[in-house]
Amino acid sequence: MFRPVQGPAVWGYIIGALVASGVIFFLLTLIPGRFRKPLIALITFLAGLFYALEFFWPTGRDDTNFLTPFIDPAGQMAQVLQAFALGLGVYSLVSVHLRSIARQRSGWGFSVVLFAALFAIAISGLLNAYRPNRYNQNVFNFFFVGGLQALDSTMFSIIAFYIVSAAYRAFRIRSVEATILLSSAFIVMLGQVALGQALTNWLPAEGFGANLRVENIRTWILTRVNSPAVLAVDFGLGMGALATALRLWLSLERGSYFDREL
Amino acid sequence: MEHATWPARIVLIVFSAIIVAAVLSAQRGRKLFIRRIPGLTAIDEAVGRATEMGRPILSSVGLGGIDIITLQALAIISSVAQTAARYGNRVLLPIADPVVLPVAEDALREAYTAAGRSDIFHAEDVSFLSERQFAYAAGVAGIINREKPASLFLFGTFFAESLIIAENGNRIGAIQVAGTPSTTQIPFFIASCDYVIIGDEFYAATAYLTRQPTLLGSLVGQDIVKGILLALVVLGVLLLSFGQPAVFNFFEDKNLALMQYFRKMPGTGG
Amino acid sequence: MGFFDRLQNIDRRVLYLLLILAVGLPLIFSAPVPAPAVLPPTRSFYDTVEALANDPVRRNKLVILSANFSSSTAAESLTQTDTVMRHLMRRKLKFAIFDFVDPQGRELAQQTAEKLQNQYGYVYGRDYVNWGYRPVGAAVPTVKAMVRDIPAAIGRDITNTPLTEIPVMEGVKGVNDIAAVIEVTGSASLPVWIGYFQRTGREPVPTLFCTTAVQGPEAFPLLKSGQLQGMLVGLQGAAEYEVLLKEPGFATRGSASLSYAHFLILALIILGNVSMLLSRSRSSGSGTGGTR
Repeated sequence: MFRPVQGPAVWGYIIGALVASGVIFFLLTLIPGRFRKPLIALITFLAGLFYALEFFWPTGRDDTNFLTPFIDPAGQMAQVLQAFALGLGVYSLVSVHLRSIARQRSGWGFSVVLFAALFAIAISGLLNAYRPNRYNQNVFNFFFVGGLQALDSTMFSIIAFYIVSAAYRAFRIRSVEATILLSSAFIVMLGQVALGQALTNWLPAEGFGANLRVENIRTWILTRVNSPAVLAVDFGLGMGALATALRLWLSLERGSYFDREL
Repeated sequence: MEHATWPARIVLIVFSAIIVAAVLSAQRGRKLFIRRIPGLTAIDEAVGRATEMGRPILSSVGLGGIDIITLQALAIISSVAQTAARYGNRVLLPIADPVVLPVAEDALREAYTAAGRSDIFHAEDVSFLSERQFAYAAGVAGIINREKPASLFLFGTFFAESLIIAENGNRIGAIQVAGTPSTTQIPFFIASCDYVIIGDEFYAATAYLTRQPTLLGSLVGQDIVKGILLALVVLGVLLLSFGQPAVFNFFEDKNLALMQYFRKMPGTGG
Repeated sequence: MGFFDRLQNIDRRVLYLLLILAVGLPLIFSAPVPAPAVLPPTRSFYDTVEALANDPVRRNKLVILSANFSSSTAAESLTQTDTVMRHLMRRKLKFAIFDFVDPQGRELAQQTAEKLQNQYGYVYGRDYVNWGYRPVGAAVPTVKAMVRDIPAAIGRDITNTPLTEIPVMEGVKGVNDIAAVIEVTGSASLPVWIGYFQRTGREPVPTLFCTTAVQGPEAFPLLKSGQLQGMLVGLQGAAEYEVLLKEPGFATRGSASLSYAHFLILALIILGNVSMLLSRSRSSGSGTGGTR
């Protein structure tokens, strides 16, 4: 819907947007305290109304209605806000760690490592993008493939160790519920792997006897017991989300969303 | 589904009306009951223990952006923070999404102010770590091992980092209370945490903790709507069992067409 | 602390060491393990790809291989990508790699394609293409735009060539020119395809799902509802697929590691419980004034 502006006009738009934002901010500060909450409620309502109307309004043959063309620009606005918020996040990170280094708090060396990593990957990424050559690519790969990818894989595989210690510690038959949980976990785990499946592969692959094969019992537990339970929980969650969304959208809590009731 | 189908329009509008009506009725003073939820009753115990031990509380709202789940999680954590503030204790809140950061900081500041202890609120206790899942998990695990919090509150959207955080909490002997709508992560929390709130208890938490009429009314509305959904499911099962697939087609005809298309295709056994 | 109490509280470092051995040794020494049973979701995944290849109209359309994973789940996701790509190449189906979750997915899938292309006589641009990575925030608008005009929505491939100039993209305009979507992921990206792509064309687009073992159970209802035509769950799913392809590879070796690791966990759970019960019966037996 909105086409990107090219050439010097871009600067005109940027400066215009900054000035307009400044004026809006200034006007907002002039609003008396008692009108602030109704104003927030109104803006929240209008913003929600846009998405609700777009979703519910009947559509034509091409599955669009009069609001559909505005959906993408609205999404882009959200992305711009997200990008500015990233700056806020980096500011928070930098200020916490700079303070830690300045005051030489315990573990301040880790803050130095953080800055070294931050600058290393940012600079090598920029050089690789804007001055692409073999040297810059190798440096970038060293940090991205050798560092980030390896660390990602490592952190994920650590979960396997935690699963072992958590399962060993937590799966104890202390009650009837715990015993049922343990028994079904046992069958699902056996039915999940080749060695476990081998325990019952002497049973026929077809016919009634096949139902007793451990992988089939596992599939039965997952699809006939677990799936309905997951769906039921999802129904409850969906309704909970709907109720919370309605309270926020219509400002039914009469304050900001976690405020005391007025 | 890009736009609402007619069944979705009818169902969502009717359900919304019921929930709003229940909220308005509760606001007019209708008395409502809420059952005991053990995980939430434990919050006071966990906060009290942290104070006795002179150690901080650590909470996390997971990896979610600024959505309904994160806002609800922040509402729960801000209630925890009010209790902590009354005891004069610190709440650390590492954040993964920069958009959530200012909202979270504001929520905690308000919680401390509401408890009359804005003097002990430190903005740097709410800090951004990283948007990357495992960098965030490593950061939280680091804070847990350095600060040794006595209690952990994990509410929000969690993925595989759930177990990394909860096991580190378990290792240092912290009391842990968790709640998430991410159903695949609930088993990990159950194995590592002391109390886990499951399913829509997550959305009932603020009503339970604050007993505000608006929230209790909303909870009643949710339950009525769930009852209707359950009745619709039973009706659908009965009609389909007795050979009336028209109802099924009314709700979703294209899926059925897709299933039939693949049954007709050569070489398809599934 | 008695013997049974100690068995209930084995140091976690010992548990970790046992796990390293259970996972590592079968990979190094290729331990013998029986072939896994092929479960229905894997079977219907395979049958769907076969059905596409046998369909005279659909076999000329493009398959989207959505590589929405990072190196963290590579053991599962990359192995699944490898085995599924072998099947596509074996049946001469054209495909496009695409990614909107993590830029690593695009790279890892491309590396796999380059590894396999000589074996199956595939050429980049002629038989497959890599559309590259789009940020997660732009995923929904991009996929929605792809319904009507893929070359306009994607623009250029990873070599910076406009899609309109790439041979494999000839005749590919929108959703009606897509044979199937294969989503490989460890995150929650599947709803983007189901919600905004699957049912937007003249006919629904068959959607196949490669997921991690943890996320698998959540997707079972989608098989029943017909929103998924097949699913590979975790490394085990990839191992089952290798059985169907009759081409044992990393997943088959990994299947042995999985088996031994699962049995280790089961053994530890039994050990913990038996020692708990024995320790309880011993303490109630040695009690002097306790009620029986």
